[in-house]
Amino acid sequence: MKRFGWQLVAVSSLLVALAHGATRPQYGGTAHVWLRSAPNSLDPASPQPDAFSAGNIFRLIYDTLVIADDTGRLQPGLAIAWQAAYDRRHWYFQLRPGVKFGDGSPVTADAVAASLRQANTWSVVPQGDSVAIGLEQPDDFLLAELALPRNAIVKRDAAGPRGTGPFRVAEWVAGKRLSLNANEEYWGGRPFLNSVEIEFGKSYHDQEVALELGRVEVVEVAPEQARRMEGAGRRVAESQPLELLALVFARDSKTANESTLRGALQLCIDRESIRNVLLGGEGEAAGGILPNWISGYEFLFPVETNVTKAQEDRGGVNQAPVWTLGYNPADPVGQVIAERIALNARDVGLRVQLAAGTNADVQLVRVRLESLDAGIALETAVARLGSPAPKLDGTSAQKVYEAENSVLQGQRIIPLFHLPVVYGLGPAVKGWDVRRDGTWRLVDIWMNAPRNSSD
Amino acid sequence: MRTRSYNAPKPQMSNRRCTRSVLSLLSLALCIAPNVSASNWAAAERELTNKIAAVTGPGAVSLSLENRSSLAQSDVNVITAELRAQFEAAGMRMVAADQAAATIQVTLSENVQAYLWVGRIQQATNSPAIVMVSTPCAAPAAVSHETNPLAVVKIPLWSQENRILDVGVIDSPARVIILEPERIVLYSRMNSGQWQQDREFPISHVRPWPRDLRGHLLLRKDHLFDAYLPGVLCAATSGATLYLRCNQSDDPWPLGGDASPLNAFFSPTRNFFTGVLSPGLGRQTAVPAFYSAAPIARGKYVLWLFAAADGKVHAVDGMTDLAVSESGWGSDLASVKSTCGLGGQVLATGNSDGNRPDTIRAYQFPDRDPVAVSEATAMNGPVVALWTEQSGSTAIAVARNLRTAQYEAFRLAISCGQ
Repeated sequence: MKRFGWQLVAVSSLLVALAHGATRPQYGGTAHVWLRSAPNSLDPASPQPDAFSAGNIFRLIYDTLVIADDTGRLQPGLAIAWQAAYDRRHWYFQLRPGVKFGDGSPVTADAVAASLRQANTWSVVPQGDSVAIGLEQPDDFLLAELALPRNAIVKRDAAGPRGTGPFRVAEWVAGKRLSLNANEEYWGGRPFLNSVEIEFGKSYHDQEVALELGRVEVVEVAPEQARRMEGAGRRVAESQPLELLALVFARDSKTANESTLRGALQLCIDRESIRNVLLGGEGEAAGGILPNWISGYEFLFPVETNVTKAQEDRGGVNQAPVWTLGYNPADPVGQVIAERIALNARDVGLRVQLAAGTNADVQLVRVRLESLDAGIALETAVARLGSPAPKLDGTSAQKVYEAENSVLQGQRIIPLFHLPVVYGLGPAVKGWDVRRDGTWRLVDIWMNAPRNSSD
Repeated sequence: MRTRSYNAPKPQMSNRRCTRSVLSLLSLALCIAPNVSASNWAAAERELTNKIAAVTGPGAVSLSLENRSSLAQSDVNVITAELRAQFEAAGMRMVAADQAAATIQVTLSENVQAYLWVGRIQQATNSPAIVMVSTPCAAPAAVSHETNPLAVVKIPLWSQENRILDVGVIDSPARVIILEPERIVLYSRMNSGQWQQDREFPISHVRPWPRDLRGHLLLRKDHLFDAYLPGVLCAATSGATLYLRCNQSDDPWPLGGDASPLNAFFSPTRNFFTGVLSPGLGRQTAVPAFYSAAPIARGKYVLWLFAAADGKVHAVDGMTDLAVSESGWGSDLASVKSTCGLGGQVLATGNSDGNRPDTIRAYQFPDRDPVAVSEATAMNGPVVALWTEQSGSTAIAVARNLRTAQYEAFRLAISCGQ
């Protein structure tokens, strides 16, 4: 444009006249969100079948002492400062003054201590406007753990759990619907939205249709559908790849032959073909439990297919058992991936039979990583995969690598893919922050619609 | 007690972090720009060399290096050369792979928080040994300057992690005042050219701040400055001892500077002006709620532009209120005087939705409709503040850099070009 001079600039600006725009967020409006799974309850300390989705809901209602930002660095939440003692077993958190729960009662050190004790076995002692956390062992991961939604600060009483978060619960119909209203007194500033209406139990298909019809503003999108939706002109926002799709054996390998066969199974899976054909080109082939963007070292774990080596390994074992491969029948893509893996296995002489459900020798499992802290992400993922907890001797990348390598050497888990979390957005949604960890920031979105300025 | 605690970052103290603070005050002829040089990597190179040497010991090794990170090739070249030098200093002799007792593959990788350098050491048929070193990411500051027949010149002033609401610049003695949500910080320039924090004043407020918090800093003649925030007015005292007094206040915020005085009430719980003016424009004492306003001198009267909360731009002259035909303006406007064109331009942001880089462009108003007179100047992220400075000839723009997450303040001026 430079070489045409400013006269052309002027003309072009007039040609595009009358297009109104506004960059500043607008207050008011309701965001309608449809999701597949509902939290078991609104108490963040309760076990959740889908901790990732539940965590997004809990972050709307509750606050944690510390908050992980988009790079995993920890920022003040309900705690404004913290210190660790030399022994790394005792931690002190100074609480943010003036914060209130939904019932108007103040957030005191006693309340915070009671909340944290509910979710953990730590010793938590109120001390004036601070709380002291005592641990049995030194724990450098404590701060990252405190940022997890399950450690949200909750006031529990007969009326149910209450939080200090940006929204307050207006109505909760378990498993079906959650209505939230803006917390006018939120310490981080009132949300731009007046309310959020979340409905649960909606299939991907129903969500997409509702988005198409303009009935909702935010829906989940199956990763393999992301490119199609984008191609159709829909707004799609996706995280970095953080959902692990993996094969998980029900038990550890007991013999050398079993280890060899598991190694052959790992080598025969054609991840690239599965990714291109069945996953619509989304995600990344996974050699590790943690994706490279979180760990920085995933490339050390091989993902290449080596049918020749797999056949050799299989040939070295006289009698191979028949493995049953379980998949979730409600996950159609999971089913076709399981079928393809069974075919890959058969090509190298392994015998794999498909079995819908969870009672199988090896299971196809999806796990979303819950933290940007590599150590915490590894610990929680391995726990959800049903494997013994990894031994983490420190927070350094080297220590986390050694722990993850140890888990993978056990051959119980065969990582397959890391997939992004994908959302479809309506045209009125503004300010949607595409966070790498897939967490929502509904507190920061606003609706691009005419509104009353007194909202 | 140990020193592990959360503290607000101090801009002048951290020049080698992922979200590096870059101090620069061009208007005062100082630019402490990041300087990524060989020495930046020395510590990590030494640590990696020591870890590798602990595995291999002295002897013949081969080294190959792969870059899987966002490091530029120039950095990779520097690191490769320096690693080789470090290896040799540690007694490792570089040979071809088929002659080496140990084959070393160094991969420059990165994770969500830092660069991660990984050494994979293969000796004979043993399982490879893996060693790792983390080193914080460096974020080079890139500032673009536009030159055009008439251009918006973007002069970098300040960059920091904490949100910047407004910036005040005092030329003599050289000082910078940074208005943040919870504090006002004064920096002074030392003889060495470095900037150091002079004073820090916490801002007391009873109510939680609204989201998309806004604030405006005004330098004063009888005292150092006033800071306007939603529902709060802070005034620095005059006299030998400087301190800050903040009070709940619904006083209107001054707009337009000395040449075109106009005050407007700001909502204490939202991010916009209510539309009520004081003392008013002629017969008009109210306009629709607006985000920003800019005056245009018209000989005997002043035409005010208001970027309204409903997305429209209103031109108000005291008698009439006309909707302006504009081309995708954002919600932030500021006027600047210059010696080119009609002598006064309006700077307007683009209409990105807050998650994409924004632009600022200069417009003139030969009549009632705007004419773009510059190219759009790219910012590194959404513009979160745009205020005309006291002189009227420059404006302060603050943008949130989407890549580094730093808040970057710029002084904007109009260049007439050659």
